[in-house]
Amino acid sequence: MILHRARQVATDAVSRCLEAVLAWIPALLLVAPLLLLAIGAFSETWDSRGPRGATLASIEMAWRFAGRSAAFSLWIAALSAAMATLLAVPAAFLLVREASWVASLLRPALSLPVVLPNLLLAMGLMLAFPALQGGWLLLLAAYVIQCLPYALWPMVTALMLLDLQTLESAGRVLGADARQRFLWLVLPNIARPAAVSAVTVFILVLAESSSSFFLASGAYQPFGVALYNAFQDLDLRIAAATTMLLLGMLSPAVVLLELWLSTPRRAASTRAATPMRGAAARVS
Amino acid sequence: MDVTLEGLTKRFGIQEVLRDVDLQFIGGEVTALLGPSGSGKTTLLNMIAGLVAPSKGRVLMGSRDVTALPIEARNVGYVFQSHALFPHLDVAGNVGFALRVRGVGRRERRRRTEEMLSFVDLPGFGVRAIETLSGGQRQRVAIARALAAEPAILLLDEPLSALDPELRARLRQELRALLERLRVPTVLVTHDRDDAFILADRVVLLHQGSILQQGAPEKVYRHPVSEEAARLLGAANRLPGNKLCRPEDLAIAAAGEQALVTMQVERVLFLGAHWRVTGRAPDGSPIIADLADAQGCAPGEALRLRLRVSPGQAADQPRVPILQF
Repeated sequence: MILHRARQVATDAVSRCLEAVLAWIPALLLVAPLLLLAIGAFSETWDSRGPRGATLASIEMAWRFAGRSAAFSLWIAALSAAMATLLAVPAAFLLVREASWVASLLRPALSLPVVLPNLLLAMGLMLAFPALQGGWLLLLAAYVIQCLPYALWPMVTALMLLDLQTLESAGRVLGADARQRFLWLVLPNIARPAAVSAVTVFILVLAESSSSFFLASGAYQPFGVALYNAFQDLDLRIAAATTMLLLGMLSPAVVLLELWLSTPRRAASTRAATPMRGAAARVS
Repeated sequence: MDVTLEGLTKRFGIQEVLRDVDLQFIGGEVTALLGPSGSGKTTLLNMIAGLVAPSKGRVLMGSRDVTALPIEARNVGYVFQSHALFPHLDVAGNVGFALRVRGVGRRERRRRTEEMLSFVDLPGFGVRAIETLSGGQRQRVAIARALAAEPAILLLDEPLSALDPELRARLRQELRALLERLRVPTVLVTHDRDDAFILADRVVLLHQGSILQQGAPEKVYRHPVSEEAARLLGAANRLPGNKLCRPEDLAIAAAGEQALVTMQVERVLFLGAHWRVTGRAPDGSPIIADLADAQGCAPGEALRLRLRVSPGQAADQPRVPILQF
């Protein structure tokens, strides 16, 4: 009896340990490198014995080196997010609403950037639009095409859950034309997923480095390229500090996304209803 | 304003789902389109609304032919089976939507919304979010929304389906009280006899795309025009002498009394208000009898049945069968 109980306690303890290890390993694998880079970014020296001391010098150096890239990346990420979302809204509406051959062709075509290597896309754009090479337009095109599926999916899912057909029928019965139905019924119901799409695209573009590497120029160097160059050519502390700058740029967007997703949806107030005072209803 | 349907026919490919339907809906009257699945009742409702275009025939609102008009321009009130309330708008936003579409000013919209909410006994509910409403409240909001723009006709698609029996019975009463106050013609689709009888002033029986019979609920129940019509409204027994009667029309014949039919009892079920005894006549046809007291009846026994005498009727004047061929 005692032996059986001891065995059960031991089994429980091992299970709990195993659970804890399995739960924490992925988190540690993600956080540990960042933690090391964070320590390195603020250290005075970093050699084979590890980082030592504390200073902001590396951060200052990194800002001098990549500040311009950061500003450019923030600008082009915002522009890409706006453009990808603007394209994704009607595309998602079309994909869910239409059962035509156009929608059938569009569906796999819009998912193609997910399976197509970004380098291939960048090469293709360079060959197709040689006149734009070295400019920011080609970068913008690459980012929008790359991120369009990620902008599209939240909205397609939301529209599918919405029962668009019934919503539209209800709008039609109440006299709403196509424009009114889209603006007053469809758009408000995909505002949240559209915001999620926009923030997702912003984050993806800010951290992008593969097609950026091909399409960047001296005048327009995205942050991903600056980061790559920092690790390639500069002191490890400055590279680590550049990584911290990227995290600093990404964090507000991630926090905003999390806050947005955790806030319960509220119905739009019309300020139309106050308690009825007197006057019996008359219905013709 | 009356709404008239003239020779409405609908074909999907080679299949004819509705055939030459002529009907008139009068202001203040509630009409139930009753029929089994595939009888064409929902198609008919959708043709009145403009959601489905007829293959032939006309829809008239007053004297105006609206057959070619799109649904947006028809001015019908439609309450969907799922209510189809807009989740992103509050109650007032939903109720006032049709007015907003028509460009009605905010002040007038607010006044009308309050009026409609009061009409459906939901005053002060305007600021409530849709997800906070109960099933019955949602239904009333859907009706208020449908009525806000003063439609020519109110259409309800299966208003009480997918509800548990207790809630269904309660909402039926609520809905009846609400519909009684309307002055527009109201048409509802249902496959449930009780819903049709309680909610409607007139029942239209549809079967395989055609109207079998129409009239007041009691008339169509007690005087069906065919065995098909009788069976659509509930159980019916075929008796010797080509008579048809309802289960509640049968009673146990006392000793010495002449029996109309002798049933071989197969099952005796207690249903609370009465007993349901099922079995077979000597010719093998099924018989169902709803009896006030069936104690002593047991499967395998022979049960002698006669037509019941209605209260106040002389003993030698039994209730007449609902149909005699």
